[in-house]
Amino acid sequence: MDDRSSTIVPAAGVASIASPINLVLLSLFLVLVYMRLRPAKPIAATLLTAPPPTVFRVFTPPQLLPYDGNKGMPVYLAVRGNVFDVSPGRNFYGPGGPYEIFAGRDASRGLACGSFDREMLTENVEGPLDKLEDLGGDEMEALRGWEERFNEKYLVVGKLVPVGHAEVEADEVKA
Amino acid sequence: MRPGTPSPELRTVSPWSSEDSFNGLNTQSATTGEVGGQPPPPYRARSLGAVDTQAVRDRPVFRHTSDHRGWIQSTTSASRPQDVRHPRTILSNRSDPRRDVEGQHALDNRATEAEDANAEDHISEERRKQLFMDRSVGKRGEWDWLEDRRDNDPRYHPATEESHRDMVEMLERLDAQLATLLSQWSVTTTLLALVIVAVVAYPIIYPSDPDTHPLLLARQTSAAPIRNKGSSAAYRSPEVPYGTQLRSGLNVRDVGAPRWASGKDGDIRDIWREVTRGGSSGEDGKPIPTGLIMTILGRDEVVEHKVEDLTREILVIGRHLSEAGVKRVALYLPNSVEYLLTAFACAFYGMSPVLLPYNQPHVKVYELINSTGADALICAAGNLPLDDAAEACKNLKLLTWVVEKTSRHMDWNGVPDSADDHLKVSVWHDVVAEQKGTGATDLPTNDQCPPLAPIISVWQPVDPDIQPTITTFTHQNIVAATAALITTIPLRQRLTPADLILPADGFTHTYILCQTFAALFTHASLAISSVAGPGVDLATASRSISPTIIIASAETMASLHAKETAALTSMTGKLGKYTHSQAMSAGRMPTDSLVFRLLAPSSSSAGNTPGKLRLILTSERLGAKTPFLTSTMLSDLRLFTRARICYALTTAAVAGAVAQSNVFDYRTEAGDGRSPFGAPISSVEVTLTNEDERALEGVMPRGQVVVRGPGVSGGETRLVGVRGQMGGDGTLRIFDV
Repeated sequence: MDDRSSTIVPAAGVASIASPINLVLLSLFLVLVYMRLRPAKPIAATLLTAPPPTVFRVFTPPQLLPYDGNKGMPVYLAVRGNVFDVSPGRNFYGPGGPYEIFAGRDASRGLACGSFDREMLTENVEGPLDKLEDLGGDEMEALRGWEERFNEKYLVVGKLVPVGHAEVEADEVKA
Repeated sequence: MRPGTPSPELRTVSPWSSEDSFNGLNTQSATTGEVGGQPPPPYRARSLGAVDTQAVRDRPVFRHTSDHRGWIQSTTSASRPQDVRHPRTILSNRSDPRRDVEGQHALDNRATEAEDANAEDHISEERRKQLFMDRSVGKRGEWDWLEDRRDNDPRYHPATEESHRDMVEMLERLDAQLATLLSQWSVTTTLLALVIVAVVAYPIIYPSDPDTHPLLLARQTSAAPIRNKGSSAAYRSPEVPYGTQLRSGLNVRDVGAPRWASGKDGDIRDIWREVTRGGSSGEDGKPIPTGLIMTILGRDEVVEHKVEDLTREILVIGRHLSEAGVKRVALYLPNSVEYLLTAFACAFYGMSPVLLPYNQPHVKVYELINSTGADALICAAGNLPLDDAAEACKNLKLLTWVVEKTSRHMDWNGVPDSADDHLKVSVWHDVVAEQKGTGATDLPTNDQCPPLAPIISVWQPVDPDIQPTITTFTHQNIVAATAALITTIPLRQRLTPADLILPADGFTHTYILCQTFAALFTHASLAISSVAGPGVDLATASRSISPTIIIASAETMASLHAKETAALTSMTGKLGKYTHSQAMSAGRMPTDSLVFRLLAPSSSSAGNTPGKLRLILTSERLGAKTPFLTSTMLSDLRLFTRARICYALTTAAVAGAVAQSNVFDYRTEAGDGRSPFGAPISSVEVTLTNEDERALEGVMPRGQVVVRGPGVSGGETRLVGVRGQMGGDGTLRIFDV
């Protein structure tokens, strides 16, 4: 085989340039250039989509009751007509927490008086809201402090109105 | 005796007889005792003389037994040395029915041979059994070492098996071919190899990162976590997320106030005060840079203005206007330094500038002057016929001509007779020259100034017959938009004192005006060109300067794109464009390597180095029926101009812009619609309203666009004639309805 290749030397320059190894390297070079220049598929950078925003709604006390953290529901509580989403504080306000009595309820009186008694909650959810008229200055001060803290930490997701109010929204039909 | 075996008399003696190896099955220790015969003769090296081959061949073959008998003469068929064959070379013997034909292991041959041997040697049956058991257990005999040596010595294995032979042959052939291939290595081969190494190693040694992290472009707005029914969440710039205040001003601190004091919003007066602070030393001792303000006159001339002279002019003009008792000053000027000076003068003296669109039919101008209730007009000399203007606009109390240098020899002070009683005509340069020596150059403080008056902007679509929208902006609107436009661009690309900014569109548009104020506030250099207008050619506008930032209109960019695409005909040009598009889709701005500069010289004439053009700010005027820029057009324009382009969405009722695309966002989308506008600027927030709730669920709501914030005139406005959608990546997309 070596003898054969050495006898075929017609034009030394051309043969040496077009030798098999040169052709192999040239084809490798062309392949590499193609790979460099071909259009790159763009990396579609996707982030996890954020949860869709909560819709602000008007609650009546019966409509607020289910939001006490059980059955996977978020934890809401109402302070002076503002409904706060306290799900980030589920350890406190959710089931099993120290403040679980306030979940899904109007917590104004309880927070103002600093008490976890059941008497603090409005018994009759169909009736009017607790007006807090009989509370003194200290208690209102405490309630204001609580409200400030809630406003800083938690999102207001609704408004609490008594049953029969003009702005009451009909219950959504669960699909 | 088996047939074929020689007679017992023909025994030959050989210590090397292989037949002994058959008796490797004599695994128990054998006694090398004296045999019923002599011990084998010692080996003698071959003599160099003639050898009696026949005698050699006739030597008796001895084999060793492992019992007391020791060496005995072999009586099997292999009695001569040449007949003795290695067990592995013995192929199957078909005559023996006990042997398998195929795949028979040599050991089996050995076994049979050994048994034959043992039988002839009169080994007893139990002895034979013992031998067999020992062998199967693997007990090594006395002479097994010799066998192992022989097994491992290649001289005793004359030929390999067939498959081994084939593989070795193939490998040798391959090796020979490879050797011939490599033997042809020449200079060319070395060159090619070097080139390949370079192509492979270059991206490793010089890796290029995208200009910004792709995940930052994947979520460009911050959405509120709560929304009302019928509207989407409020989308804001990430600088002012939900829960924080939208940007409402420039955060100006009083001169003596401590560093940590929160600043006030400020107004347009504070912008000029900041300009005058240039050159002095700041609070920390470092000098505040001075921004140049220059005017481009004609083809070659660039006139630089000194800040003290400009301050004096502001005070003089302001006094002149307020002494005439005017409340609203209409400006019908091309871009000029007088335009800006009038705006500042109105701010300091409690008057409203009315920004009229330039290059309109005269009748239209008179209409606008009347409908806005302007009582003063500052106009470029000769642009409006004096008599008609005086006749049409009966409310005018003062008309000031701004005369260019070449026309100053003429007398512009003439007043038409019909308007002699109520109209006063003055000439700008005369007013300034009169009070040159007198008058302080100190700007009045805010206490000394009359109360601020709003700025009235006229938003005129391209077609002059369409009714314009007249909007009233407070100083807070303008200043909030200015601050937001400064901070919208990330720090790396922001306006710096080293930049030269060329507004290539009229100051009537609040986007241009606010960007100009931003340039002044950040002490950047400003170049004002009077040819600047909505459709100007960029090359014409930037004739004798090399701006780093150009603020252009969408019409200018569209015509530039059409021109450059038509001019791109050569293959090298197209290849260059293709390669640069690759770089852009990888998130990098393409660099002009030497090769491409030679092959495809940049045909873009805007922005001549040094301090080359780095940013073009262009805007879409909603409702003005201007051509809009698609995503691919913007991408091509980035390649043509080698500059980053920001595309802003502007509308009549919002000062500055509603949204501006990210400066590092080079992504292209197919389609003929407007390019996505990016995130809202920090002075506004955008909400989408829709009657259909399902269109608002999810992360890509669509509907009508509502804009709120301190940058919006009246606090809230709705974009008419278009629908908006928030893209998955947080960019605002606008569609015509």
